[in-house]
Amino acid sequence: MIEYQGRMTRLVNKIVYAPVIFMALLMILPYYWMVIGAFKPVPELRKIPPTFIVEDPTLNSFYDSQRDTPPDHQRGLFQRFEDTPAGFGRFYFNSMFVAVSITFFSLVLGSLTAFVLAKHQFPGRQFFFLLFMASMMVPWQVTLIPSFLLMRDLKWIDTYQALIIPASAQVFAVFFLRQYMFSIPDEILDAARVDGASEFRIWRSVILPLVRPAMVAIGLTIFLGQWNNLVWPLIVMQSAEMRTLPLAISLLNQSLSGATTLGLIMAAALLTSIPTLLLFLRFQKEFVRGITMTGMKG
Amino acid sequence: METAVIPTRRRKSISGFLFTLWKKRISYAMLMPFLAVFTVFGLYPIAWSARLSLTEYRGIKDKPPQYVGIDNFKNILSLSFKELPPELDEATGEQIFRCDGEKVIESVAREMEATGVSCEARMVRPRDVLPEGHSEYDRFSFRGTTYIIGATDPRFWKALYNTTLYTMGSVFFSTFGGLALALFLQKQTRVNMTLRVVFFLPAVTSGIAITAVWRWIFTSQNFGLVNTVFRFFGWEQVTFLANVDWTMRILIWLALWGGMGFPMILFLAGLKNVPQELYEAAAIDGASVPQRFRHITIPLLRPTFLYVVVMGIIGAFQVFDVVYIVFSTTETIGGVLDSALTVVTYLYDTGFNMFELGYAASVAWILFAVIFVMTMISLRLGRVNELY
Repeated sequence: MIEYQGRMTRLVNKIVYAPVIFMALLMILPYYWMVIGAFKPVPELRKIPPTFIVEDPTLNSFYDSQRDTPPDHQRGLFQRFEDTPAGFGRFYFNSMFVAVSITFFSLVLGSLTAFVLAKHQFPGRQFFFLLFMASMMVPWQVTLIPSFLLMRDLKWIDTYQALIIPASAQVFAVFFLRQYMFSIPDEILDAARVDGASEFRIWRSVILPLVRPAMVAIGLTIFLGQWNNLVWPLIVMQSAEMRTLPLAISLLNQSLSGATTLGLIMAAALLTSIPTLLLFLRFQKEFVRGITMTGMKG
Repeated sequence: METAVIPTRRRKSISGFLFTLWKKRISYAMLMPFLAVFTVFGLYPIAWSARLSLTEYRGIKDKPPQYVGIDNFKNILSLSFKELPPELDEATGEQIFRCDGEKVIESVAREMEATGVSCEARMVRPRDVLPEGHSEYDRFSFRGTTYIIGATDPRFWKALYNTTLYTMGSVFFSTFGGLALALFLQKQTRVNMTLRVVFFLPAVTSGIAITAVWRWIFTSQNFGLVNTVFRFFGWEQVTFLANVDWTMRILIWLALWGGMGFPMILFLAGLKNVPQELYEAAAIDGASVPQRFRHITIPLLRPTFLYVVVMGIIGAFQVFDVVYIVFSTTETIGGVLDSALTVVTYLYDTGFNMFELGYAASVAWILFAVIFVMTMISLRLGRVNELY
């Protein structure tokens, strides 16, 4: 009897799990399609119906040493974009440099501001906080056009600072770091003050180590958001060598079509998503904590 | 008994105030870097945008913005609603039909229809009934009468309609999808934990890159994955990205794919916070499992639910990347027949392809107003539900 029931439950379980597992497969489908697409050689890319397992994996979509022998070879990803020195590699550097800089600056500025707003008493404290909060209500599209005009007037079009500096004041980082800092007891700070530490020193050596988990969670959110930022670079980056990865991908996407060029797009997508996948695997818990703490996604 | 403690007010004086400011100079100094960047690149553009929305400006340096008052808003929003009368023949007063490329009156058309020719009733041209400057946005029939909706900017209304549809669809499916997943994967078994990671993966890594992959999964060329599967089952091939009927389905599917993990995590956290004692107490009182779900789980998840919906609405109304990556071509930004045109893609198009910068700024403020109203409505609805 017990045996029978156990088997029944297991069967029911399996049936109930089937649609969920099917959904889960659909979730990872594009990742799979991307990986196999990136490693297929040209003849295999041309096959109809497409192959579901790579028969003859190759790196040709990235770099093809026999590029000049069509039809079975074509220029790889790193051989395209001949208008730019280093081509795709340059775009990769642009994206990485910009996203890392923004993450760094916005964490520094954000934690400094959060510290002052959470732990200092001064006239205007409430005012500044409410001002920051109110600005969060306004969607970024409202400032899109004037921000572009501002960049033009500052002659910042096609410069790194056009991407980095405006994004360095992240109000949501201030908000959540401030919340987090309320949990730090004032006594610790007072003890440091008695020992003669300056406020800057307290921020650096007392506050920052204590808010590390929040910094990691918020930093990840900011990095991913910037890594995937499309609209702003689309507007302020006009020359070829200043392209970021999202721009390069949308360019490939719109200019290429046909079975054989699929490999190039998949190769570009794979290289672009590798950092996000690595961050996901390494910081999975922090992502979950970040979402439950801030209620924000990337 | 009670002795009120009256706080001794410090004397207000300007010099005293300045002294306080001076004493707090370190706080202000530490606030300064953020405040400076925020003011220049956050606040100033908001004020600028408000001013710009009242002007006509094509981004040319020599031609400064022309003040036009609220004309931009009028042009974006004005709608007209008119009855579209049938076109009548002047001599006989009968309605004109078009049969096989030939214009005939109704009585003739009936005879021709009897012989198997298909006929179509002709209506007055829209511009004869619509006010000056309006063009047709949509028409529909109700009880035998045809009505026409005109607008000065039909493309904006198309974008707003698409965005609203997208928002409702994506928020509905991803919220309930996320809730279902959270309930299903609640137990912390190994299989469930793995599945959680899988469903969470796109929420974190669904960037531009993987979105681009979807475009090639849905491509209508015969190496497209979906069409290969369709062929396998013997179904008809579909030109997914060039078929108006499929645009919204694909957009909502992508929103579901990339957007389910986020509510799932929040609902899982919400479920974890439901005190186990409540379930035990209810079980002792004889409440069945559905009853426990209805009266304990649902009310306690309500704040999370409300939060997910509000954040979903705000995010969905601002959708841009997916449309741009999956549907835009070099010719049309909103895909075939603007079927994927959303408010933000329209904003981008007017601002940076047509250089109507003042007009685009007005579109942005309307977007803000719409998001604001939608948020308020959902918060209000959420509160009404709390009453019982």
